[in-house]
Amino acid sequence: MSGAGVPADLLVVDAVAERHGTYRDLLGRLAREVVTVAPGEDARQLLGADRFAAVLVNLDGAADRAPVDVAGIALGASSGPPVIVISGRMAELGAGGCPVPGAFAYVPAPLAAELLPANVACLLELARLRATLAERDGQIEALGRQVAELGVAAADEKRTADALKARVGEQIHRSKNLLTIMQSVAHRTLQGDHPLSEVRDTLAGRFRALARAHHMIAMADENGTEIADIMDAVLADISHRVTANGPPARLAHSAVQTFSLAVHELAVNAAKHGALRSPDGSVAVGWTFFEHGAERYLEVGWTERGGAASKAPSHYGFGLTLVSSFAGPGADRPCIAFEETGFICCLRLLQDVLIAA
Amino acid sequence: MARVLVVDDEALIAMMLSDLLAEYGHETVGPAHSEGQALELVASTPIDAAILDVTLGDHDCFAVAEALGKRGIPFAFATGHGVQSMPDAFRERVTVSKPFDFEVVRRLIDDLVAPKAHL
Repeated sequence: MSGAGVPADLLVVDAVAERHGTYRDLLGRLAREVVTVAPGEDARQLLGADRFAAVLVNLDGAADRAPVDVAGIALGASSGPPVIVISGRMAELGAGGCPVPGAFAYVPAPLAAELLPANVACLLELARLRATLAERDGQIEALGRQVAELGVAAADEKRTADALKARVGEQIHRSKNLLTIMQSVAHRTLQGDHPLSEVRDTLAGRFRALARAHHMIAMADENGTEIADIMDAVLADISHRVTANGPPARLAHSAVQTFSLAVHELAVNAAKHGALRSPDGSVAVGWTFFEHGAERYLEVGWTERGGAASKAPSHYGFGLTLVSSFAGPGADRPCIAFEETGFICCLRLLQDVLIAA
Repeated sequence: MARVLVVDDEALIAMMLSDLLAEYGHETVGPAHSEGQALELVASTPIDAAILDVTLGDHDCFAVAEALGKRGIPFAFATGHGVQSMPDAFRERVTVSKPFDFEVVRRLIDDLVAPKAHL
């Protein structure tokens, strides 16, 4: 066993100067330098120098308590170097039960030539192992922290990836849904024997309405879309001839497209066949919450006035068929009426497509 | 002529399926836009076959599928998702993807309403 690897020197504190040479002889091979000093101020300063692998204090032979004080300082520094106390009177000093932490050894005096180096070597090895252990502990702790941090980072990464995947999945579904709706709109619009130029305009208008609705959904959060915002967007071109009033009400994503398209159809019909054909014609849009049994729903009324008397068509086209799909609870037939005063209808939005405030 | 239940929460898509059914000489039952409406129709109306949209608002259509299965009514799914997102119990069922290939829909309806169809 040797103190190899432990940087440093040995400090020996002994009041008896004649013994100093012996220490250097006995311990020379265990340290770079064996520094010997008498107890006192010099010894205290050296103790604070932080260059010693171990400190030996011989308590015997001094007239005063100086060696005991030095030993006390050395032993009191818990993080300091290991201490070897040499004394023939250890039992009296009571240091055998010394509660000081850290490396500590007691070597009885008078010195046995082979005992001291063996003790010092042992203690140095112990200190070295303790230092290694502390270093390993630090490394283990650092590694543990790193593992924990990596775990957190991995969990974050996974969450982000999952959320992204879910959003992409949702977007794909929404796009396919939109494409299928466009397919349906095209399928319906291309039926009949309208001139191609008219069909082209109608189809473009419907696709624009869907695109606006799609944009609103994309911009909206999970709280849905305010019905007033839908009205503003869909009725922007005829806003000067429309009044729109109602309490705050939010529509779920799933309803926004069809509802927007239905309102678009009503606006187009009003301009083409209804009140907006006349310069004095106008439209009043209003919505109110109603209850039917356990079902709460929002009823959106569309009332045209100021134009010519309205006449029921021979069959319902795309717009009225779409409006009919908003018939609502308990209603066998949609609320659509062709009055003398103008066209009237209402669309009912059920609870499952409304988002509670 | 067969009576085919159409279940889709998108009125426009249901409308197209109704149009296609009419074109192929069949009658539409519904269309139902929600699970509740669909279950009511399955319980109360004679139905020969059904086409179910997998996603119905916040719900799915699997309760409707089970009700149809119990009554031995052939049905197929329509979905914008892949087949792999279907629950195991229904993975063997015919699934038609959206947007539709009208030719595929026509064959699907033919198969569903064929006299000895046991899908």
